[in-house]
Parts: sequence; structure tokens; C-alpha cells
Amino acid sequence: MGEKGMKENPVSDSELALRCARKDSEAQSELYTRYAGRLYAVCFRYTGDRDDAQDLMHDAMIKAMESIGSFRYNGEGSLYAWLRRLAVNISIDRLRELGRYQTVSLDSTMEGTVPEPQDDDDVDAIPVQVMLDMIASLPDVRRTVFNMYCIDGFSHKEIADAIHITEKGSASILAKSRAQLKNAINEYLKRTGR
Amino acid sequence: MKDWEDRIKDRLDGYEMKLPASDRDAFLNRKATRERYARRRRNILSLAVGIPAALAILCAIFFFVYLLSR
Repeated sequence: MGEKGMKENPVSDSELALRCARKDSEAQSELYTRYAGRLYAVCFRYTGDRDDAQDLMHDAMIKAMESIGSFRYNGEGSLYAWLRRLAVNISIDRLRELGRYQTVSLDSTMEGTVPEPQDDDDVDAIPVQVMLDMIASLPDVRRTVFNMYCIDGFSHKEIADAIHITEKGSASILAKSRAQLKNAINEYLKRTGR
Repeated sequence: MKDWEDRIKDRLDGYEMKLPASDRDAFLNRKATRERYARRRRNILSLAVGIPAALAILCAIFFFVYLLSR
């Protein structure tokens, strides 16, 4: 996997995908360089653990390189959207295999209302990595539902199908994860004196 | 005006996390192992199909020769 050639002549995503489909090792290396960091962040959002995220990112990259022939380019950003979906699916499958969604019925704490973060600018001032760590600290089910619904745009029906819960259950878990995250944001803002 | 969730979404979308230092090597090792395993599995599969198929053809030939020689 040499990197040199593509660094000198950056290729478009559509060209990159075509070359990866032909098993061009230079293109595969470029795919890794371009997207590994972003997929690592996606997997970390779902697993909440750096080592697990690294493993899953590798799996997602390998799967992408094997099946990129089925990818259809739909304009700028479509390759990343396709890769992200792959990484999300692989992360959810792995967490389900590990039985980390079995605590759904016990997920009944954190009732009640939590105030919205005071100022939206304050939310913007939180470093992204701190935000990721806050999401990572949510319990598995809450983290997954929050990520799927709020960040990756899945519907409650899709979430229910993916992690084998009801749509109502998904909505209720989402409310709890929102409350817990809002709490974490407010605490962080208080701690840092904003 | 965007609420706090949308702001979080905007900031996380496409965010790139710093990879561990030796990640590329770890990835290449894993990919190579996976490809070796897949190749071996393909070979075993072709043997598992090829040997019985060859035996079946041989049997058919012997049976045909036997029928002709009677």
C-alpha cells in the first residue's frame, strides 16, 4: 500500500471508489488515509471504548474494501455516508453479539426533567473530544439510541429493528439519554465556569 | 435557531479522531491475515467440490467402459 502517488495527485471519491473496486492497493491506502480517522470516531461514538472502536474501524474498512463494488456514487459526501453506514451497522451488530443491549428493560433510572443547556454558544465551546467522551460515558443502549436517532438520523422504527426493542422503548430510552447528556453538559459547563 | 442536539450533531459530523500511532500497521496485518484466510477457505472449497466431481466423472467413465465391454 503505497501512499506517495495519490498524495501528489489527489483523486476524487468516485475515482477512488472505482480504483478500490479494482483492488488497487494504492487506492485502498488512500481510502484508509482519507476516512480511517472519521470512521474511528463513528465507532468510538457507538462503543465508548478506544480499543473496541479501533477493531471495529478495521473491520469496517476491510468490509468496505471487499464490497466497494456495490457502492454507487451520488455526489460529494456519498462515499463517506456509505462508509459511515457500514461502520454503524458493524458497530451495532458487534454490540448486539456481545449481548450489550440486554439491559434495556432495566434502563429505568434518570427520570424527571433536566434543564436545557443555558446558552447554545456554551455548547459550542465544549471541545468535540469532550463531547464524544460524554456520549461514550452513556450506558450502551442509551448511547446507541442517541447516536442512531440524533446523530445518524435513524427513525425509531429502524432503531427498534436494529437492537430488538419496541419503538416506544426507543423513544423512552432516547428521552433518558438526552436527560443524562444534558446533565453531563451542564455539569461540565459549571465545572469550567461558563 | 438550532437546539443543542443539532449543534452537537453538526460538530460531530465528519469529526476525525486521532488514530493510535501504529494503527496503519495493525490494519495492514489484519487485512493480510483476513485475505490469507479467505484464500485458504477458497482453496479448501475448490478441493471439496473438485475432488468429488473428479471422482464422479471417473466413476461415470469406468461405468461407461464397463457397459461397452459387456
